[in-house]
Amino acid sequence: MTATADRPDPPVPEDAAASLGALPSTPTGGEVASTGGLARQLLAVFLENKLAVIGAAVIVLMVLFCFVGPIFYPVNETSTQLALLNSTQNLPPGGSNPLGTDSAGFDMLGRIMFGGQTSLEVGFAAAGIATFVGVLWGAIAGFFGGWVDALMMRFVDILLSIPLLFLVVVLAVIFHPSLSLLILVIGLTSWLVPARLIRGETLSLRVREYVQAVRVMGGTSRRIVLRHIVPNAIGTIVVNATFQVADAILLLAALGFIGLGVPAPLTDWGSMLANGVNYALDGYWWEIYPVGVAIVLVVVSFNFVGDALRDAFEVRLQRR
Amino acid sequence: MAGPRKRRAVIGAGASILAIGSALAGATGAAAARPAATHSTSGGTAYFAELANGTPNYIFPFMNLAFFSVTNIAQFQYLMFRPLYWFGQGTAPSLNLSLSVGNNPVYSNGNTKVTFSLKNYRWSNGEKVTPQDVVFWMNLMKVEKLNWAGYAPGTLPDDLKSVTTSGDSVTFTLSGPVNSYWFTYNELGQVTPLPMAWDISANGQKGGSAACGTASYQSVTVTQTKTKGGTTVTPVSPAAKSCAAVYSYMSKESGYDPSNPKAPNNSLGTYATNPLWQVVDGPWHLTAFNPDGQATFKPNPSYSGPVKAKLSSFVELPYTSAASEFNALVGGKLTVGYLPPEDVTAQAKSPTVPGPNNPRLTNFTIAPWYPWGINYFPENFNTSANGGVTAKVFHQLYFRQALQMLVDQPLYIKKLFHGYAVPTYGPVPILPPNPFASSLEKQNPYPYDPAKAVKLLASHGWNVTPNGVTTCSDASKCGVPKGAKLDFNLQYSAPTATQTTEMQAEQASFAQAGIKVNLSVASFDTVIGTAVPCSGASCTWQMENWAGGWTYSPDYYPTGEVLFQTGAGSNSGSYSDPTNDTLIKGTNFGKTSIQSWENYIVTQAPVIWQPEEAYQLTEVQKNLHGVTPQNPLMSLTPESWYFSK
Repeated sequence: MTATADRPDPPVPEDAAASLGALPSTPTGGEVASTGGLARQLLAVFLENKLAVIGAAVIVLMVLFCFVGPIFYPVNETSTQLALLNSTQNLPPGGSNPLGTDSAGFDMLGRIMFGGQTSLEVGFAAAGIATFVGVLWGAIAGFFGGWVDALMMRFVDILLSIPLLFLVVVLAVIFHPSLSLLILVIGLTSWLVPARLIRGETLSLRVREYVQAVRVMGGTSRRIVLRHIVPNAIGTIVVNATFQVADAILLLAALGFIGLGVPAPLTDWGSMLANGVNYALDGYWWEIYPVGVAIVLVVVSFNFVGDALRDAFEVRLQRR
Repeated sequence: MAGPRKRRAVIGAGASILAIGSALAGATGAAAARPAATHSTSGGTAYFAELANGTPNYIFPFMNLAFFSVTNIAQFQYLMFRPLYWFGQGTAPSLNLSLSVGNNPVYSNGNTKVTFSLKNYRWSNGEKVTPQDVVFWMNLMKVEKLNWAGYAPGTLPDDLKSVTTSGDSVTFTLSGPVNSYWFTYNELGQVTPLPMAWDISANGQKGGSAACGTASYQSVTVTQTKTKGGTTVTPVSPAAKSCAAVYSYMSKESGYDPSNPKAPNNSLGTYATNPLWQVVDGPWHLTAFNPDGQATFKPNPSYSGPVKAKLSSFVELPYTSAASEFNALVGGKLTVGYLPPEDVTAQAKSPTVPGPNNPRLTNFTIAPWYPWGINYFPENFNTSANGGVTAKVFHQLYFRQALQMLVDQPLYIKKLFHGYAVPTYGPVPILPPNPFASSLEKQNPYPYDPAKAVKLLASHGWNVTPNGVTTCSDASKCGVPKGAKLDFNLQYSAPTATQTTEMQAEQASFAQAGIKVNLSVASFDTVIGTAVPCSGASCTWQMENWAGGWTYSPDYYPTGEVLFQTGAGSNSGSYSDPTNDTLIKGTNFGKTSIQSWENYIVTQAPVIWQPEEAYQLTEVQKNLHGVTPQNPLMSLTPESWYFSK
């Protein structure tokens, strides 16, 4: 509940009906306190969650860091040949390399920016694909019910029984990783949970009066699903999409860590971490901690934001 | 540390052999020094680290290129099954008669006849190692030469008229005179006597019942047909058909089905339990084998050779990465391991003189182990990729020259291998110092020069797009259709993080001339299984790098017929050049100097040369002795190892 919502309702003038013909510029009895739009209410709830605010700020900063940072901090981020030629390998932080250099001589700060671009791109794009597929799948299954629902959801159950990392590894090995392929693979293996959630949401929405009304008025199933059910499940969708971004970044990191990340000269945070771990016993901490911290920061931030959005969309969870 | 390596080689005898052998031995005399005297103890177990992702996966000594690796042969099979001739004295790649089953071969009749006798070796089932066991190998080779990775057209068995036995001696009568040094090193060096217990073609048979091993060489007859798809050999006589059946059966027992080459090896788990593999003439026998590559050996109690094992057991341990191996080394789980190049903390004083060891390995001594070999990766001249256009690009000499100009070997040696490497600019090894490597090869005709590479491509009609994809704009100059792109796939094996960095550096360097190389990683076994000579629509691979190049074994005399001659079993990329073939033939059968062939092949760049890094930076636990000097053909001799008190 927002502060605005706590205020007492303004008094209704007794002659309101009579005065309809000539509404005063200000209501009798004073200003009507605006309850604001839905977006404003959501924002207000969101802003109440300090961790979420910090999380959102971190995400914005990381996006700027990865995508705008290279403009202000231009270093060689892709050519191993030039890195070997012009740099010293495994330099500790200091001087012109604030976070040191890696085993090829790449500047770690610049490389984290570059790897972050891939990780964030994959995170957002894969989450988008997973959400899109999951929403459609779940909405259709939930709306039609019956054997369609049974068939579609058993398929989901079967896929859910396969460990996700195993599934992704098999696909990545078969098709040889590329950036677009990894996005597709992660996206197309991550839609199962959103599908279940949206299916559950749809089961409750499809019996609502406005859905029945559309049916009575001759609305098609497609229209009902796309124009009425999905928009009314937007809270669940947005919240889940946020978590999907975090999960996709983690999954990419895991793939990169086992050598199935994006192909060179691209890199991602997981691949960087895997490379750094090779030197764990040599004391080159700067090749592990900064990129590890980046992964943790971004993933935790998305989770904080997701939590706050859930609170904002779900009235029952507000002011917990 | 290099990756696991493919291998092959041969030897010859006579005065010239001794002269060259002495030169090689002299060049490495210091490295061959004996270990300091210690109080030795018998017993104990030595734990040896296999290279990451390079585990033994084949036990039958007669194999095709897909299994032809140091890991399988020199560090696994040789412990149990001794070759006819042993190579490596100290760190010199020369004939070691004291460890050989055969005595020094004697050439006569103008080098058209070779006779050698066998020493008194016995198989563990009590049978003597006889000249007929050599004939058994030769019979198999006659029928299955196309399945023997050491085969090159015109060489063994094509150059044989007959093989006869008399008492303890075997005589090879040749179809013409040969270079005796070459024949001993590169032809006889391929032979491994096989026990009659393996002369079977079905389960439950008695040894010798298949009648391939017992047959005379002359009774094994075949026909050879040349077709568009290559050469086929068909067994004709009953003995030849028996040999084909024996080969098929034994290969299947080892895990390879000749009728279904792509089938997985399901026999690994039987290696230690199958009675066939317990018939050994080497100092060790296998007592346990895990399909992941862990192998446990115990001394062969009936070993009749010169050096008896002092250890009570020898264990080879597999690792999925160099990092995990290093962890095991630091954790004291290994007796003999290796220092991954990424964990080298000080530059080498010279390639063979190590700098200070990694400070975490105070209980170990570092010893760089160099192979008698070269490092390269092949392009596939027969690839069907892109409708054959890719193969046409590979056939252009100017393209191969440009590609070679983009490999900055000195940089990789200094920055990636910390000085533990030497450059490869041609087919003859640089280390150990030897009389074969020519000055042209040492000078490098195509030094690193990106600008020159770009200019070379542009002058041949290519629209060079640095960091993009260069395309052909003038077919008459390019030699390939207009619009062809310099865009290739390269699968590589990455036993160490350094190998990955090297490949990424080469990728970035190639990009300077708009040569786009798409990298993908696979295991060593996958890469060598892919990089085999092929043709037709299914021949799709473009470039493969198993990260180990070639150790000249069993082609110990680096004359190249096995690697570069048209149709050779280990000519991965199907390189074919009549001039090259003529020069090789002249070297092996005539009076052409090895340098004539070498200088020609250096200019032709039939493969992409890479730095020849140390096979591994061996780390030896300080109370273990006898590990050094290390065999330049990568053979393991743990029977010489012992612990001190």
